[in-house]
Amino acid sequence: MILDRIPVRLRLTLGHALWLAFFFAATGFAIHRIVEHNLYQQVDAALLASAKSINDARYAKPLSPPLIQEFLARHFGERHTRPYAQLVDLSGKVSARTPNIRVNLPVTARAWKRAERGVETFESFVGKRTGNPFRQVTLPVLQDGKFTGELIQVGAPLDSTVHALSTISLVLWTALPTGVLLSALLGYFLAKRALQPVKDMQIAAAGLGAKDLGQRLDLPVANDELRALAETFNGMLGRLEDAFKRLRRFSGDVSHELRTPVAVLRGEAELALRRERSPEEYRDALRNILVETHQMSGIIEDLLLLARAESKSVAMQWAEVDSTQFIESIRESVQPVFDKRGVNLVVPADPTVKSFTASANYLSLAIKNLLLNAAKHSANGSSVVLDMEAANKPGAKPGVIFRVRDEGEGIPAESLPYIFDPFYRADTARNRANGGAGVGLSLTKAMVNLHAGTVEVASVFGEGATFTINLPAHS
Amino acid sequence: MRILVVEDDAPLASVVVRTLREESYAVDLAQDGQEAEWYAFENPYDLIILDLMLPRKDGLSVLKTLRSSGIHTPVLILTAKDAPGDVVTGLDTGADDYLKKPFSLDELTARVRALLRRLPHETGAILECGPLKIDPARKEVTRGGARIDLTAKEFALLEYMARHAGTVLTRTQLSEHVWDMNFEPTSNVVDVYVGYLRNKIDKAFEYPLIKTMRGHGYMLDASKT
Repeated sequence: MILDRIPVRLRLTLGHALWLAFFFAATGFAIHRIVEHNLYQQVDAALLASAKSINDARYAKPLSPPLIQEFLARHFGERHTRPYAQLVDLSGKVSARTPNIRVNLPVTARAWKRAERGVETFESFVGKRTGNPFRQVTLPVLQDGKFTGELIQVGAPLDSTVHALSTISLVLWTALPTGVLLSALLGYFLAKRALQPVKDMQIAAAGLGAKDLGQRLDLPVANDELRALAETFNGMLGRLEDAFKRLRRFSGDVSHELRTPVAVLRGEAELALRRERSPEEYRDALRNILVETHQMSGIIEDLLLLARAESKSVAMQWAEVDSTQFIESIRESVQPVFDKRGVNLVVPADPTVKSFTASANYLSLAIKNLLLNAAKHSANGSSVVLDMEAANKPGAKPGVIFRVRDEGEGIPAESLPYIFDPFYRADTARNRANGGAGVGLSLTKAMVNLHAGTVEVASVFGEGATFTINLPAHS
Repeated sequence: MRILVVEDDAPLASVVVRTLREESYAVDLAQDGQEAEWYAFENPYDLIILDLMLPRKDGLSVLKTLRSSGIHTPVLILTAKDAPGDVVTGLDTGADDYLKKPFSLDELTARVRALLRRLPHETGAILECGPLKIDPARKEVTRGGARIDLTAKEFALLEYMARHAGTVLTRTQLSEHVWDMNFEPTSNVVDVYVGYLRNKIDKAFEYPLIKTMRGHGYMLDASKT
């Protein structure tokens, strides 16, 4: 559309001006016609009144033609006066006329025809000699309702009417286009004014870099489209800011998690090399370095898996999984940690769901992480319970639910929304000795998401926590 | 010189503590912010090395508490973060220097020496007391040009006395700044070590530098009387 290429301000103005011009033109025509009609009616009424008074004078109290001549002269004045009148018959013979008539005035065929029916006729002419327009009425003289063959014609020049009309035309045709022009200009500036907040917003938005995502646009006071736009924009900024914050925190956390072990590696090596040492001291240094390297590669593996899972570039190995075997393999792999911490692990001996479809390695990682997390937050002697049941959602194929419940210290309510964020810990400090880099729960969530499932947490601070993995049936 | 190391990561703390002990400093380790405050209130440290990310109470809060309680011990902060924000806040809160992880141990010990030099009435990198010259970086001691070999503890004791040359130091002061928390207060270890030092730096020379102020303690002083 060609209209789309025109700037919006101009488009508004043009559209507005076009409609206004159309409306003004229509109004102008209407006014002109109404005024014209009224003026002619006045003239016609005056002419008819004159004709009738002549008729009355002629026939109510019959006068001889010379007397009529005198009456006309008295009535219409001398030859210089503008209106005129005459009495004319069928043969075209004029029996009386005002002195200002110097030519034989025509009687049109139309006027004759109408006269025979006893109806007066109004006509406009242009004077042959002067070129002046005039208006004339032809009144048939009736006797006992019958046309006598005589006509009374009364005329008057129209120049004052025409003048009035042309004045009106002039006024209309200059005032209206000026009005259109002025209002188009006004419209242009109004459009500019109206669009100014948009421009302000654009300038403000253009000035925002990644560093000032905390800034917001000022909201217009009026509750209108512009406010809605600004609010939408601010909402978008808020989401961006949030995403940036998470990203920044994530990279900060990653660097922390990797720098500390690197500091240890470097420190152990430098310390060992500072002076001549005994073989036992060198062996200790190497052992420390090895332990640290193991931890570090664990962190790196977790981070890589998390990144791959979040970019969905993980190869899922969907297969039918036997529940009993699946749970037993998980129990075997986490049991040493539970034993070390003196925490009881309770798993279902005979799960009601016999088998389900999943990518077993990734799902078991998700559940292991939940169990290890639960163990970490459980006191010596308390229990962690793993449950499994069928999820019967009406209208859907039954999925499977895993539940991990602990009797630990629970999670503060303000931490619940962030518990699955990478590196998030209710306690801001890190403690690598306490296990993991803080990505365990994020990994659980990522692994469950790969299965199109959800993981939720419910906890009352001080009374333990329950994590629920809800897997839909694989289709 | 007695140093408090505050670091929650056990392997890293171990490296730092071992390094500083090898440098003959007396070192205590606090593994969380709360513990760090207790230690700092209890003991007169000459330097605190403070990690910012700590359990229970973060490093910045610890620093704030210490400074507002009138403890003006030099503080070296350790940070693993990229953002300069923590460093800036740390320095503005009253830290004296900072190191980013991973750091080199040589840099750590150099910064520790630099911060210890800033203690009241301190001068150059080499401590002098009459004919006695002590180089804390190289752990070298000479008297009148003659080299003297000292053990780490002897060196620490001499260094502390040299930094406060001309002032009487009580046994308690010496034990608090040269020995860590494992010091047994009822022992006569301080007198024993002062004796060792005397044997090495005074015995073979014409006049003693270590003076016994009876009833008070000891003083390192260059005057011949």
